[in-house]
Amino acid sequence: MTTDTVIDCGGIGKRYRRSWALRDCHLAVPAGHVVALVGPNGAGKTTLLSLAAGLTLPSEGAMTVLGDQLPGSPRALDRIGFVAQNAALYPGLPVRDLLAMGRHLNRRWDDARARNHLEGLGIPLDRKYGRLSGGQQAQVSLALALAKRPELLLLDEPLAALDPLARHDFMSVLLTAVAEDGLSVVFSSHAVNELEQSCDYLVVLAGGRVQVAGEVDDLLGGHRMLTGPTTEAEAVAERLPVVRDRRAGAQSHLLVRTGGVDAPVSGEWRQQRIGLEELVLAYLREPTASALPGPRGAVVKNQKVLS
Amino acid sequence: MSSTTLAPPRSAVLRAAGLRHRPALLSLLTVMGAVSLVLLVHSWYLHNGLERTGAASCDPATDVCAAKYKQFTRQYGDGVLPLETVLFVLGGAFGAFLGGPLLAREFEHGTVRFAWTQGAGRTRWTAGGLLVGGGALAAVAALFGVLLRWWSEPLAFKGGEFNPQLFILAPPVLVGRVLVGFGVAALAGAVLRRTVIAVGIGLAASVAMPFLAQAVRSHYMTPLEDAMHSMTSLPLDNRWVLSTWFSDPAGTRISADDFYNRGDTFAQWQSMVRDGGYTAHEVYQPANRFWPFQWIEFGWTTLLAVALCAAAVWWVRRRAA
Repeated sequence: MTTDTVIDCGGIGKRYRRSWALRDCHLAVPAGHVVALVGPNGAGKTTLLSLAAGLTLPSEGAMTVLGDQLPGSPRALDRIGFVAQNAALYPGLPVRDLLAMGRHLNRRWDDARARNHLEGLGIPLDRKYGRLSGGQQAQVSLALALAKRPELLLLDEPLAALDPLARHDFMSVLLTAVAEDGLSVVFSSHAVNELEQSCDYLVVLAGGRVQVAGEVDDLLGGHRMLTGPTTEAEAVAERLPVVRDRRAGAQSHLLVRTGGVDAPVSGEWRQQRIGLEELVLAYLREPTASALPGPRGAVVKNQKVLS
Repeated sequence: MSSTTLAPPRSAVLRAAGLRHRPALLSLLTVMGAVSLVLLVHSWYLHNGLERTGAASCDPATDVCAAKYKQFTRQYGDGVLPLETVLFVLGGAFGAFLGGPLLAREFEHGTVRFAWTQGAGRTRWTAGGLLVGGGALAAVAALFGVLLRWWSEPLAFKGGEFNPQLFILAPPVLVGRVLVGFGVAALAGAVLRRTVIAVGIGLAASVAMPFLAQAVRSHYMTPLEDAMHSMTSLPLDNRWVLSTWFSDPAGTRISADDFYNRGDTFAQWQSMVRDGGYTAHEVYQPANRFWPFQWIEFGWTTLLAVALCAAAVWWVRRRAA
């Protein structure tokens, strides 16, 4: 497969009436990852996924998916699975009919896979979709998307309305499919604390722009939390790219980007690695900081990089 | 994967659309079935009444027959007017009720995000839905039109089939009108994305349609003209009389006002045209043009409906979700 990126956009923007949902958005997501798309409400997560699914057109710039495909083109529609927020499907139709619809509407369709998936979870095929529980509805939507045997699966807030057990079931089905098919997944989520076990690539959106993008391991390895005396904090902050700067009376905490090595600090300064949740929250609290990968999609503004 | 199917046939989108719209089509059939049952009973009642009063078998030119028909309407005609009004509204309503939700509900429920991201794409999905909905609707309307025609048969004895109330109940015109209601409601649903408003607009269009059609109907074919020497239309062939004009003994055209000013009573006018050299010219559409007119009206209304549906597809193509 020649596909090296699943979503690639440079300077894409989407305007709804007067306000920009996405603006000057640079992103290149490599294939073969489970990508978590996080950000506050209104950051543009749903808009980005809608653009990738071909549901909406950008106001400026262009996006390609699965290498060089235009979102919404027949080739792209065949190869991309999409599960919408709240997983809305026709409430009056039995699950069996929804599967038949999927079979009729797609060139690639694995009916046995969808049936096994749903039967394995004990979801009755003759039950109307509207009469299923929230977790079951999400599973039906996922089964319909996976039956297309997609190369890229887009999920918009798949976990938001689910209880913890249903979340766990959903993610385990999803990750099993990833392991079997090697498909790429991009899902948006609020549940920052659950990301670490499920995703290996992170994109943080804030205010319609990409703030952080990178593999989780690189991001975690590339940041250090420095703790030391406040009197020396200014000198350290001058030398290092600081993401977040918290100074208390005697002690200060600086989250710095180090590019994968330990920060060159000594004396009373201690440094430690941080978790994904802490990293995401730090960036969300500092909208001007950014951590972006190399040549494609890099934003230079506000960026000090340690060399 | 051996179980992965590739390239579904072209008709597959229609089958998917059929599954999607099956609940709506079933409720349409249920409602129409119930209405048809009422009509069937009432039709039987009217036909039976026509037989009993003897108006069915007599020569309509005779006064006796006219009296019999009058008795029939007095005795059996109570329910006709309200039913006629209901049918006038309902005639286009079910098109609007099917067309309004067809696209608008997809937006309201957010199901577009599923439907438009399937391999078939949004254009084929929308066109398929309109084709299935419109096709089913046309079939139901045609059957309903056949029943309506049987129902309206006793009423057409007097006044003929060109009576505007009855003309729109025959199958071809009914199908065209229902399809226009369907197309308007579907387009409104695609643009406004609100089911209730879309149905309302479709209803308004289907009620307005007969008035519009009535206004242009007499121009479908050039009317014929008869020179008459009597003030009452003699031939009882259920022709559709559009207008009457007069000419004086010299053969020049005079206005109706001018003509009526030259006499005072009906008897005087009658003698003027019978013996005085004046001529009454009746402009009319003959009764045998009923079916050509039906098909002409079916033609342009159906074309209009197809254009409306095409506009809905075009709108869906260019607008984002």
